[in-house]
Amino acid sequence: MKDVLPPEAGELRFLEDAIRGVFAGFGYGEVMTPTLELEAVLEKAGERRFKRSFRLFDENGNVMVLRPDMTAPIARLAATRLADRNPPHRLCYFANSFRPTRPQRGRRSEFYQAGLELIGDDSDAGDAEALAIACRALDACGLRDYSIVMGEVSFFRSLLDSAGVSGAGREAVFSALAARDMVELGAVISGLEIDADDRQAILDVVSLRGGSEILTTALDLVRGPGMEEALKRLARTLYLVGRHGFAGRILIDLGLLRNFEYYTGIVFEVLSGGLGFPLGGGGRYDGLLGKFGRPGPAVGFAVGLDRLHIALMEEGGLDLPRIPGAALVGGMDSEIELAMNLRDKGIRVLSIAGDVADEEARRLAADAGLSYVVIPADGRYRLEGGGGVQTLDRDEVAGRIESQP
Amino acid sequence: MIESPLEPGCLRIAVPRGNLFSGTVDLLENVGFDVGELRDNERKLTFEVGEGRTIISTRPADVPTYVEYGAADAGIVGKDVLLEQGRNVYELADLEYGACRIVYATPAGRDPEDELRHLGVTRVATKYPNIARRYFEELGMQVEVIELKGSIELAPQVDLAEGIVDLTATGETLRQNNLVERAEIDVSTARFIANRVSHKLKARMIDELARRLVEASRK
Repeated sequence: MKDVLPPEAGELRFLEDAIRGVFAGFGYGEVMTPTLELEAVLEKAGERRFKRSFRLFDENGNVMVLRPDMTAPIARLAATRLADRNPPHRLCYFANSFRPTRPQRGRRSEFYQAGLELIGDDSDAGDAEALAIACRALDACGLRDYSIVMGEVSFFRSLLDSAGVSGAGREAVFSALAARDMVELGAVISGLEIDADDRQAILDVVSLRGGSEILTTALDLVRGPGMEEALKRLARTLYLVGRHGFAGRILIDLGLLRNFEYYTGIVFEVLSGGLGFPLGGGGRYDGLLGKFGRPGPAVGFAVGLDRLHIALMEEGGLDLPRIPGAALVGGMDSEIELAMNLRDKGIRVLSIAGDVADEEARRLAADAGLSYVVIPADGRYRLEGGGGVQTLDRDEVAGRIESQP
Repeated sequence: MIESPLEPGCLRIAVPRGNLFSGTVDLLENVGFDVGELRDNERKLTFEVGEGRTIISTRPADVPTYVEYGAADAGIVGKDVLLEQGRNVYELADLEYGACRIVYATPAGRDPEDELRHLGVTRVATKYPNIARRYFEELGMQVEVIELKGSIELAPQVDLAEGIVDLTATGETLRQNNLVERAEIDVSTARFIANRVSHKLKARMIDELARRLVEASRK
């Protein structure tokens, strides 16, 4: 966990606002859920990773959990609070979640995410919409170097079905592949009593990644309708993402599972060349809502705002809009009316007491990121900033600041 | 300016200066890297080895750190280090050299189980506190793990610990220090690891390198 000061907090809010605008542009409505969830309710998600979370007791002895992600609370909300409304539901959130972890760059026990869920739609068009919104949100934040790597967990699951891998062997395969431990995976697979062909096919599939040509390569490995359907769905999704204008952003990785067990269809991760870890991800989870009592398909994703911020700094910083602003000496006492008058015109005014030295006023303006200092001088005003010093009448000050923010 | 490690077309590989070093340099030479300077210059830390690939040489325990953060795209490191640290890196291939075993050993002529029955807790000195803790937890044995940075075999001789968990290749050091192996905890060999983002954004280069390393190591 960490404290966030200016200007970091302002930059994170800028990113949040940029993304909020994109989500709203696709008709997603924002939801807020409680920071604490009842453990007994959250456990319905059946997500083993949630075992590692912060817990406390309420006054009746119920175990409460600091929410470890936002997808499960929103699935709960959709299955209960929205039960009487017809799907699809388009919901988004900007919220902190909590998971105990050893902190390092881009990974903290409290993390802040922007995300959305499209609930009640099982189409590839829904998958494509989620991917396209992710791209558009990153574009809106000004991120240049990013790719989204996409897989389909049902492709691999169908392969295991057709090879007859079940029970403990299947779990061992999934756990090795989720960690991308190829040595362990090789050992697990050589211990399975399956055909040599199937063994090779499993090893081939997990290293299949690259551009859209991978979908063609993968056709040779298809054994059974489930795998073929998964590839077709990926191809259709890719086509639709292309119609949104983002085909060039998508990579394919057929061994991608992600660490959450609730994914059932496409899964994806947002990668930036400047970062050693994904800055976001998501996927389709058609089984999760049913666990909260109201079955339905859903797809969603989340982007870590802290990670996105790091990626943008690696690319040279954020392109923040310049807002006109000034520190006004006397704004707290002798010049209150001028301060209010400037604010009415949309200018940010940092009020400073009239007896503060000019040098101190300049320092305060610089610390607050304001371009101008306004100092009363014999009935007129000295305006410092914008590349010079001018003495102006009272009614000229606002116009000058606005003309060159 | 330092070039981004994830620059397309370039690959930065972390290799360990330690027990695995000579075997690693031989292997890199066999796959066609220009390793002359890497072999001869112990002070230098980064080496250009051709085809846009850079080697960085680090302490063995630091290799997974460089790779996890993406400061290196890939690396070569012993399985013992991976087991101990549990870092979030992808383990892509077993390169099979540098084989050793992680063992639990106690002094000859003493019965560790009998001592444990009387005291309830035994002290174990090790460079691998996480591996040791996991192992004894699974056994249901109560131990006090004492972390040391080196010369682990000294600990039982000066009554710092009743036993040790350490790496052994031939067992010679154990014998010289009058220690008897009581259990094999794990087997370790050199592994090829990759950063999880590089694994996707530089898929072709990393797969190609993994393939060549595996081929050369099986010769």
